[in-house]
Amino acid sequence: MSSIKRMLLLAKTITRTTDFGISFGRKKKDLNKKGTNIVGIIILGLVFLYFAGIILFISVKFFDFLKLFGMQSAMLGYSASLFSFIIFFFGIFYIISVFYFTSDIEHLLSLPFNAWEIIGGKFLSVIIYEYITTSLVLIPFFVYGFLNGEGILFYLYSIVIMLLLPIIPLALTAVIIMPIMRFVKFARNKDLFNMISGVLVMAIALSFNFYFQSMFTNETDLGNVVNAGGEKLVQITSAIFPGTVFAGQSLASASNINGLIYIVLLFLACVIAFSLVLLLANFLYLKAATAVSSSNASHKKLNKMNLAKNFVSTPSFFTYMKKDILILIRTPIFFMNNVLLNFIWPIVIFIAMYRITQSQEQGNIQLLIKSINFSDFDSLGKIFFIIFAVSIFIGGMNGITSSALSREGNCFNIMKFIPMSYFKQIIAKISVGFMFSFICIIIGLGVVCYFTQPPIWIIVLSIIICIPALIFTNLCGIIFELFWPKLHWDNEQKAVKQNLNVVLGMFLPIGLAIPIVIFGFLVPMNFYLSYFLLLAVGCILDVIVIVILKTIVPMRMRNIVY
Amino acid sequence: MITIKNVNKSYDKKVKAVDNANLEIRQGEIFGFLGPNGAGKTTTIKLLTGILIPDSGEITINGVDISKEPLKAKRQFGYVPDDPNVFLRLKGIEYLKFMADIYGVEPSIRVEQVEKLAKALEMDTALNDKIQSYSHGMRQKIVLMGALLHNPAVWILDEPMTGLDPKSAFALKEMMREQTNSGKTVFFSTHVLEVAEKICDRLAIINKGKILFCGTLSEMKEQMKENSSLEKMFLELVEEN
Repeated sequence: MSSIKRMLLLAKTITRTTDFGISFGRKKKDLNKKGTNIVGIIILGLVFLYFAGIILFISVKFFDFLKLFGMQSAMLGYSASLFSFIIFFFGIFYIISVFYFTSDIEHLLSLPFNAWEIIGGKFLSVIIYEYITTSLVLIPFFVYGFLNGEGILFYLYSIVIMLLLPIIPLALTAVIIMPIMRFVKFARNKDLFNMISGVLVMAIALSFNFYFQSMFTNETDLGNVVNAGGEKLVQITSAIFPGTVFAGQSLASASNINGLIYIVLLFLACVIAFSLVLLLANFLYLKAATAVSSSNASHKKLNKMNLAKNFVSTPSFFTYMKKDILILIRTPIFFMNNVLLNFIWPIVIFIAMYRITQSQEQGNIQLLIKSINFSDFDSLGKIFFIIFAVSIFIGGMNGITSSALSREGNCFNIMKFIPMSYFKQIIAKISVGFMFSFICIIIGLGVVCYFTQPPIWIIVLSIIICIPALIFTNLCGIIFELFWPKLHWDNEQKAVKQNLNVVLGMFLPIGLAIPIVIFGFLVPMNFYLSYFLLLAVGCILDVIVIVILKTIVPMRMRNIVY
Repeated sequence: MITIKNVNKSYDKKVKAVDNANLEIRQGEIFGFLGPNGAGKTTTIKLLTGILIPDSGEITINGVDISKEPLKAKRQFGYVPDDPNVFLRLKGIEYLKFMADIYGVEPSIRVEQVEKLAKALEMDTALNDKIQSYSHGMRQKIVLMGALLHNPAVWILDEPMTGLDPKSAFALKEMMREQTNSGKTVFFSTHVLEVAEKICDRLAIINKGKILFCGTLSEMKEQMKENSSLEKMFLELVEEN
């Protein structure tokens, strides 16, 4: 079998066995789960259509805008450049995951494949999955083609360009990544990569949200900014991905021979880029791929002093809490889904409040914020209802308590044989959830106080009223876990993302928070009555749930079997 | 000392995993628990350790009934499960500290205990690394260290030799013998009949939830037709059943 054929065979096999995070469409062993597959595919399809709809809308508007200046063909270059940039960005995560962090590498190395054949196969499999994204580039192309009255050749060229477009950006990604993975030791740590990439993606998403919201106030502004930004993007991407110029030029000249010439040039550029990747792989890939680990061992011997420092006696309750916290922070999936969320919310609130205070259109809300009279005790009472309701909401959002038992997985039996009462262990788990929710509330309150500048006593009272609310939601979260823990999983995502208890833990607080706010606004009450009613109700609810837990915890824990 | 009296356990009220089991494991003995796959060994051990609750019967550890005084009974033993993949994100030293705090190990003896166990099992240079970076055998060893840190009166080990290199397996056997010489009890399950033959004072054989035999090797030889080796006697017993 020739090398090319072997590479294609490998690409086909890898594509079929790697899910790139999209596991819904795959056949499951359990026939009863077929229903889930169809639902998953429908959801994915709807999400795709949603994004396609947005791109279609923007493309049409942008074409109309550019046509006013006779510059509609610029849209082709802008689209090619933007998609190249998106492919490059997401390609970083795909390339690292598929090239280095899949478990198939050791198996592949024992088969008669050269390094460049393995890389070639993996590279092609990444391109195939990138087509899910790149297929969306056809939308601006086809919009242009339809509105500009282009012929059949234009559409054929668009499809060819869509197939060739990912190659150069991905090749550049691979050329950058391979030396880093070969020579930078910590880059090969899977856990660290997953954590950093998760944080980076969220940071970029929030930054884009902040940037674009602060830029646009109307359609003309949007058009001007996108046009100016598009020009700059084309300049940058032309320098970085030479092929993108050929893509835009080919489509703009589809009606004459130049269109074909540019397609050929794009093809040649892709071949050169791909060959460069294969050449580099021969020297850099194998050693790095086999050195990847989830955790690097230091093999450092601890001396007596270090041992003594590590073995200071701590009450078992706090040791148990610490164990849960360390596992939450160190497991990338748990960190991103349960811990990071507590810090995202305050940032979202900051962005929203900053936008409100800066935007001319939000004048009414600005006035509302500025008009809060902290001496008006009757209105103040309503604000505490809002704070209480928000605390109930925040308490359930991080899913820490409503996945507390599920996250144990195969370690659940340890809970059962250690000499620590089940109730104490459960309270320790609830305390961890409360702790992170409380941090989120404090940061969020800090953000709100920065904009509203309330007196200190209001801040103190706000913190006090949050506590019973947070405790309540976390106590309720554990009840779901005691009845329906999801202990059997082979992937941490299943414990926190595909866990109905986490969803229930989020929606129950929403269901409670809304009536509380409505009650607070509809029923006339002075400040003292509002505040102390909330405090009393919160504390009473907490006590009731704790009494219930004291009864059901031993019984439920005895019956849960891993 | 461990006593199991008329213990029954079934899953879904259909399959009887443990069928009217009666065992007495005396102080100062190494007791081997043998049986084919799915015989009920791990279920019995889980009943002993409080992970599972028997449908009926009584289990006591050093005279403490595990269903009536579970916390007191759990302090009597150190348990090593068959799956050593526990708390992979913790460092070895963090796992040991966790166990030391949970079992209330005296601060004055912690360092000495850890050093002694780490040296015996050759884990000195691994304690500062995450358990995730350990091989299977090393994970087995760290779980063993965690179970023995509080110097329990009873050791309950579920297939403890799996994954251990010959040197560590030898060290464990020596430790087991040392423990029983000082009056403590060791109860372990194994597939490796040679190990049971060499070190066990008494053994029991279980199949399909029923205890087929309990006694010394000599007693077994007297009862069996094929008595040239434990392997032959084991196979005869299991096939008869």
